[in-house]
Amino acid sequence: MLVNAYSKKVFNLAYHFSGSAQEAEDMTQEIFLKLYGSLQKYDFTRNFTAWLLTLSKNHLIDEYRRTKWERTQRDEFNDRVIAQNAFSGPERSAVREENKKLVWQSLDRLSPEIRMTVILRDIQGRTYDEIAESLGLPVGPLSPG
Amino acid sequence: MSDAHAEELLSAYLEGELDESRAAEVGRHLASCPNCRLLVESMKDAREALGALPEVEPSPALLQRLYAIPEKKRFRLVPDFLLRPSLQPLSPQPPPFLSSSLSWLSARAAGRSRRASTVSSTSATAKPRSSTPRPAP
Repeated sequence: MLVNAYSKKVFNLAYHFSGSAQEAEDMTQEIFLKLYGSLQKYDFTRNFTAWLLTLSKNHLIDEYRRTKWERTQRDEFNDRVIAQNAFSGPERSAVREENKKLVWQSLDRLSPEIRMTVILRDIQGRTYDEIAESLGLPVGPLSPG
Repeated sequence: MSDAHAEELLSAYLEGELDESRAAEVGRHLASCPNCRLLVESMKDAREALGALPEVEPSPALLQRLYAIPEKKRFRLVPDFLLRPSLQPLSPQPPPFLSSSLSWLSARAAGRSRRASTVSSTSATAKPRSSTPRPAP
């Protein structure tokens, strides 16, 4: 049941964060191993999605720091994901693909924490409340308002 | 409104987080400032580029591996964190094997000190006995 409900979310978070399908699969498996191992510690008063996000985010950032994933991995992401979107006109499509590449190159320059925040907000569409809870921060510093 | 001040508010403006009067103020500034208009367009494009990234389906092989985890956990002989250093527990407490080793060591140390104190008390009680004069045969 947990796999059905959350595997896609966790896998996409890992994929967008790492830029590599293979890394994302390994990370997803390790996150689920941790999840099953930590279920006894789950506080039922907490939002489960935010709790899982915290667990996933911690694991991804720790692994990133530990192994220093190669930057070239994101090239694979560019080829597989960015190029697969077809838009109405070829010119507009080229501009959009160029924009995506620029965005991904910029993401690579961010610290893992900030990158994670951008992914959660702008790709996964999480609310500021959820992101703040998963990062253990008050909403103020995250919200643009 | 200055360009720098408007720039600070553009992200909130795009997300609809500004109150009405502030949003109207930014709107008026955008109408008269080509630099900020260009910046807003770039920000919109960047957000659109991020938001348009497709969700990827996990592969069937990964799903099989994930479904198998609870079974594996039930029958595991060795805890994961012993086999995979990346799966060290997040809690500030020491891992179970470490805490059991520590408790064993402390119990051993306590046993030694108890034994030492017993020996010293025995020798302490033995002293006067040895100092008492033996009865003559």
